[in-house]
Formats: sequence, C-alpha cells, structure tokens
Amino acid sequence: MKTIISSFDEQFAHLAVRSKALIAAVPEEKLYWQPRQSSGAFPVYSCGEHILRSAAAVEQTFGGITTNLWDDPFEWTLPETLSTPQSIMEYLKEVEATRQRGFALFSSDENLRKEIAVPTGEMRLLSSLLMETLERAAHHQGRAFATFRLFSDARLPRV
Amino acid sequence: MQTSQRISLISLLLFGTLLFTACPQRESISKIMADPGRYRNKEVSIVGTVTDSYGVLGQGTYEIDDGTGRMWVATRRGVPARGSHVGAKGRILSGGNFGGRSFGTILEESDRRARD
Repeated sequence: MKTIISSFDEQFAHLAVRSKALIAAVPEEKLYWQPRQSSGAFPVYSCGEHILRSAAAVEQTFGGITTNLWDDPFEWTLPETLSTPQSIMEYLKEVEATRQRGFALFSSDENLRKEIAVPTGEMRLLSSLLMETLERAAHHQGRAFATFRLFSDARLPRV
Repeated sequence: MQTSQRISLISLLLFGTLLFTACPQRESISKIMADPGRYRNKEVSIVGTVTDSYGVLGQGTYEIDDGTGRMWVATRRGVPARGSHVGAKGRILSGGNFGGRSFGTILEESDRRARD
C-alpha cells in the first residue's frame, strides 16, 4: 500500500521534473524576460525567477530538515548568480539531491506527526511543513508556466 | 544514630540533591532532536566533537556531533575550533537567527568545557 510519505515524495519528484522541463524549453534570451516593467508596488518575475523561487522553497525546507539550517536561498539564487539555463539546471539538481536526502530520513508516515522547530520559533508538524512547501513551490512553478505561455506555444509537461 | 550524625547525613543528602538539580541533564542529540518540543526552554548539556562553526566578534554558532546526531550551539564567547571535543550546556531554543543565519532547534550556550 502506498504511504503518505511516498505520495509526498512522488509529488516533489514530479515538481522537480516539471521545473527542469520548463528550463529546458525556455530560450536563453527569454530566461529572465519580464512580461512588463514593475510599477514598484510588487515585483514582476520572469520564468527563471519563478522557477528559482519554486526550487528555493524546497531547498530551504529540506535544508532545515537535514541540517537544521533554515537560511533563505535568496542570496545564491539571484539571476546574476545563476544567469544561464545550465546554471539553473545545476541548481535544480542540487535541490533535488537535498530533497532526496531529506526523504531518506523518513521511515514511515509516523514521521509526519513529528514537530520540528522553524526559525520563527514555532513548532511545525512535518506534514504541514511539507504541504506548505509543496504549495509554495507549485505556486511559483504555475506562475513560471503562465509567463512561458506569453512567448511560447511549446508543449510543457502536464501537472 | 546520634543527632550530630543525623544532621550530617541530612546535610549531605540536601547538598547532593541541590547539586543534582543544579546540573543540567546530559542528553544525546538524537533524543533532543526526536522530540524538540519536550526540551524547549529546558537546560541540557551535550558532549561531542565540533564539526562546523561560524563566528564574528566573539559571537557565533558551532555544530556538535555526539555520534547520535548533530546540533547547533549559539555562543557569545567565541567559537571552538573544528575537531575539538567540547561539552556545552545551555537552554534549548526553538528557532532563531544568530550571526545572520537561521536555525531550527538550537542550544543557547551558558557554559562550555573543553575536553582532552
């Protein structure tokens, strides 16, 4: 019988595959293309930035789970740092490896009931943390897909 | 038993009890990390090898590995060198930012002993 942990694992794995497929489909000149100038009220992100935000959400959570360090990956995922599709692809691979190390620590669905401390001082149930991470990552990925549609009709992997 | 002997015995017991309650309990890191909520704001001591450290101007964090797991320790007395064997005591905190880095469960050091 499929466990809840394996279902989470599967969803995160699919998310990573879709992000890689999108980056592979984006022409390099459109990687950080923004659909319009930001008015300053809120940022307007490109495909590349949305995919990086999506992966960063996963990296932060699983960095916290595996090493108890919850640093925001913002600094090392700036477009200036990861300026090419190849560098983003490398980063996505690193994130997926971190995520897999995290899942290797879970032995059963019982682990999902465990509470862990996050930097805000809250104790969070692992199940709720995984759900929230998946939601945030999928949200940014969905926005990346929507931005991609503004300049391309290429097929993308189905959700 | 004579009165003086009874007083001595009771004094010894009281002293022993006070000494015992004053020392934080030594715990394995795996036990703390398995149920961090139970140890929140409690005084514990951990002993192990320093595997990583960050520090600036006498403040910082270092990571102890006791063979059962790893735990970050926040200090205001300078960080010990990597590879050194230390015993740290302090309070377990649930999350915080120290030296520009974000942590989950962390020990706020109140005392530290270097071990040979």
